[in-house]
Amino acid sequence: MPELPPNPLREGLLAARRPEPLTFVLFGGGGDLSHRKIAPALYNLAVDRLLPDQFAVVGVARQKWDDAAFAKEMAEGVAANSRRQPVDQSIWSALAEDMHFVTGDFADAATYRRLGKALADLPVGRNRLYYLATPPQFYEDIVRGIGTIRRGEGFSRVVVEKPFGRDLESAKKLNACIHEVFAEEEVYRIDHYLGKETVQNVLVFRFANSIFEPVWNRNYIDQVQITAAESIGIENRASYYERAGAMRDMLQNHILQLLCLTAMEPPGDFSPDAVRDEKVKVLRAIRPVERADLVRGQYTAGWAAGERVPGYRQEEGVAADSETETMVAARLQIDNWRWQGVPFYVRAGKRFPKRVTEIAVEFRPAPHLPWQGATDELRANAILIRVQPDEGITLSFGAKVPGQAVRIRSVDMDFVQGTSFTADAPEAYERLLLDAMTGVPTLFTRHDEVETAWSLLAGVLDDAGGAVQPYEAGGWGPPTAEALTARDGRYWRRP
Amino acid sequence: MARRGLVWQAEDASLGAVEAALRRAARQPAEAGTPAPPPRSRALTLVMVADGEDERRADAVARLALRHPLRAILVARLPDQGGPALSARIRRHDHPGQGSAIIAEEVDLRVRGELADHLGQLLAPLLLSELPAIFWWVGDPPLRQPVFAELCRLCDRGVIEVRDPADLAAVPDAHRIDEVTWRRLAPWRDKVAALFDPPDHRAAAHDVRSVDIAHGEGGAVAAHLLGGWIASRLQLRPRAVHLRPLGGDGPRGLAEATLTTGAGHDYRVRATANGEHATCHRPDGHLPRVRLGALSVGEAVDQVLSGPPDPLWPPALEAAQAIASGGHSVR
Repeated sequence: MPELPPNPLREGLLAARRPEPLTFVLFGGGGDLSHRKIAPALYNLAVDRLLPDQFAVVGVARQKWDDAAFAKEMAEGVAANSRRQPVDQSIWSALAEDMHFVTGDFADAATYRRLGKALADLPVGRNRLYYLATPPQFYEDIVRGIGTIRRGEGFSRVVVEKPFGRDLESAKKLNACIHEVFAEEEVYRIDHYLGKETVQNVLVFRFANSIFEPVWNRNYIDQVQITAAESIGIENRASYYERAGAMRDMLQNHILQLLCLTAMEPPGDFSPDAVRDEKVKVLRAIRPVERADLVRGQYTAGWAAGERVPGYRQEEGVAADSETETMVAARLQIDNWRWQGVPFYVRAGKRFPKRVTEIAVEFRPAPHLPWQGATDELRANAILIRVQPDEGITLSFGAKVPGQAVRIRSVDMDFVQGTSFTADAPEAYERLLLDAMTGVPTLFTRHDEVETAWSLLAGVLDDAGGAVQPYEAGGWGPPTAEALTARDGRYWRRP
Repeated sequence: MARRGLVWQAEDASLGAVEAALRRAARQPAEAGTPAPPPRSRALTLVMVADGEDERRADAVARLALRHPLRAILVARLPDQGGPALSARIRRHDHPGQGSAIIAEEVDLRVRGELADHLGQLLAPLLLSELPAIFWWVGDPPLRQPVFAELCRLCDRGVIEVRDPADLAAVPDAHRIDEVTWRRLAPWRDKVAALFDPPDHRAAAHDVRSVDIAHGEGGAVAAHLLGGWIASRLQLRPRAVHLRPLGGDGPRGLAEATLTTGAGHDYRVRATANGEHATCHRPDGHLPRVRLGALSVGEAVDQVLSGPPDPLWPPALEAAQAIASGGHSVR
C-alpha cells in the first residue's frame, strides 16, 4: 500500500492535536458514567475547539430512546456536571445535532446490525472510537458484536473502562477476546487517575527537575506511603462493589499506577511504549503480595462527616454476611537496585475520615544532628504529592524557630496547583478522551501491565487474603493495618 | 474572578521607591488583622506598554493571571505636559477561591518625557529574577524607534499587533517577536488545512498553484499572513498569492481563501457574514458549515504566554513580507 503523503498545511499547526473526522460510539450511553463524565468531557472538548469538524456520537443502550431523547439526557449530564457553567448553548446545539441513538441488548446480534446501518448512514467518514461505558460483564459480548460490523473502517479503537477482569485468568480471557477483534495498539484501557493533572505532574516533578531525582532512591528514602481514602460509603453501587471490593476497585489499578509513577526509572522519551515499558518493569520487580503483608477491612456502623452511618453489611444491596473488603492495606517490596529495602505502604478504602489521595515519600534522618535536645519537633524530611483534593506538592523540612536558643521544627513549603494556575484544568476524562481520539495511548494501560498487576495479587484475592477485619466508619482501618507499619518501627502518616 | 487591591501609590515616584514598595508588598498580609502574607506564585513578567492609559489592560492582566501567575508591569507613555516623570501604583490581584493567593502583582507606571524613550533602563530592576520576561506592545508598535529595540533587548520575547501590511517588513527577529493577528488566524489555518486532511485530497495539497484571498476592511494584515503561511508551507512563489480587497460594504476581516490546483480544482473556505462560521468546499462537494470564530486578542496573547514560539511564524512572516513588497520572492 503506497504511503499517504503528509498534509503540509496541517504540519506544525498548534491545533495539530485535533482528531480526524470521527464517530464516537458510546456503549452504555444511557448510564451513569456517560451522564457524569463523558457528556461533560465531550462538551468541554468542543468548547476548546478540540473536536473534529465532522464528529458524531452514537449512543447504544437498552433504553427505548430516540436521538432527541439521548441528546437531552447528555445535555442534562453537561448541565449538572460540566466544569464550565453556564453551558454555551450554541456550542452544545452544534454538538447535539450529530447525536444518534441505537436501542438494543448488548448480547443481541440484531443490535449490531442496526448499529452498523446507523454508522454507514452517517456522513462522518470511516473512523470509529468505541467506548465501553457499561458494566464489565457486557464487555465480551460488545467486543464480539463490534467484530461483526468492523469492515471498511478507517482507524478503529476501543476504550475499555476498569475493572479489567477480576483476576489474572479473567483478564487474560478478556484480553484474548478483545485481541480477536482489535490489535493491542487499538485498545485503550482507561484508568482515569492517569488523566489527572497531578498524577501526570509526578513524572514532571521527578524527571524535569534535577534536584529531586538524585535523592530518589534507597540511599536517601526511608519509606513511601500511598493513601487513597474516601469518606463516602458505597453509595448506590452495591451490586458492583460486592463483586469488586477495595482490592479490585483501587489496589489493582489506581494504587499500583501511582506506585509505578513514583518508582519507575526515567523513560528515554514520552512515547507510549517507553513510558509503559518502565511501568511494567516496576510491576515485575514487585514481590507478589503475601497474606502476612496484607490487611482487608470492612467498615461497621459509625460516624462519618458528622452523621451516623450504617455499616457495610447494612447497606442496601449488600449481603448480611458479606466478606467483601471496603479497605485494603498492604506492604509492598520492590526488588531492584533503586528500591531494595524501602517499604511501600499502600492503603485504600471507604468511610475513612476524609477524602484524600496522596503519595508521601519520607527520607532517612540526617546522619548526625549537632543540636542535642533541640530536634524533638523535627519530623522526617518528606515530599508529599497530593493527588486530590488541593492538588499540589509539599516539601517538609527542618527550620530554626526564631529565638536565642536553637530549636528546630518541621515546616512545610507548599506548591498548590490551584493557586499557581487558577484556571480550571481539564478533567481527566477530557484529556483521556482526546488522547484516545488522536491515538496517543501513553496514559492508558497495556495488556501486560494489567496482567502483571493481577499476578501480584493472585495469592491474596478474596478469602486468600485473610478474613475481613471490622473497622468503625470514620476511622483509618482496623488495628491490624496499624500493625503493618508498626512491626517495621514506622507508623501511618495522618493525611 | 480575581480581586484587585491597592497596595501603594506615589504621584512623583522614584524607581527605588517602587522597588522598595514591591519588597514590602511581598510581606503584607492579605487583610488587616491577619498575620501572614498570602501565598504567591509567579511564572513570568509581562510588560505591557501603550501610548496613553487604558484600564482595560488591567482587566487583561486579571484574565491572563488565571493561567499564568505573573508580575505585570503596565507602562503608560504619556505626553510631556509637565508633571513628574514617573508616577507609580502597585496593586495585587488575589483569588478568593484559592485562599486569597496572589496571582498577579500589577505595577502601574505612568512615564512622561525623555524617560518614556528609555524604558529598558527603567524596567530592568523590576523584572522577576530569571523568570521569562515578555512584552506586549498594545496599539501600534514603534517598530523603527530605539525604544522598541530597547524593549526587544530587555525581554526574552515580545508580542505586537501589526495594523498596516507595510509594517510587516519592519518586524524584527520573528523568532522572538510574536504577532497577535497571526495567532488569531489559528481557526482559519485549521480550516484551510482541513480541506486537505482526507487521504483522497492529500495529493492535491502538493499540486496547489495559486491562492486567492479576499478580505474586507481591517483584514489586510490577516490576508497577507494567511497567504504567507500557505506560500511558505506549499513552497509557492509570492506572486502565486493574490490578495483581493473587497469594497467597503463587504464583510470585515478575512472573507474567503481559495486554493487552486494545477488540475484547476478549487478548495475554498468562505466565512459567513459575521465571521463566526465558515462553509468549506472541495472539488467533490460542499462540507457542512463549521465553527470558525477568530480568537480574541486576549486568547492570542494567552497562546503566546502558554508555549514556545510558533515555528511556522518566521517563514510565514518572511513570505508575507515578500507578498507585501509586490511579490518579490524571498527565496
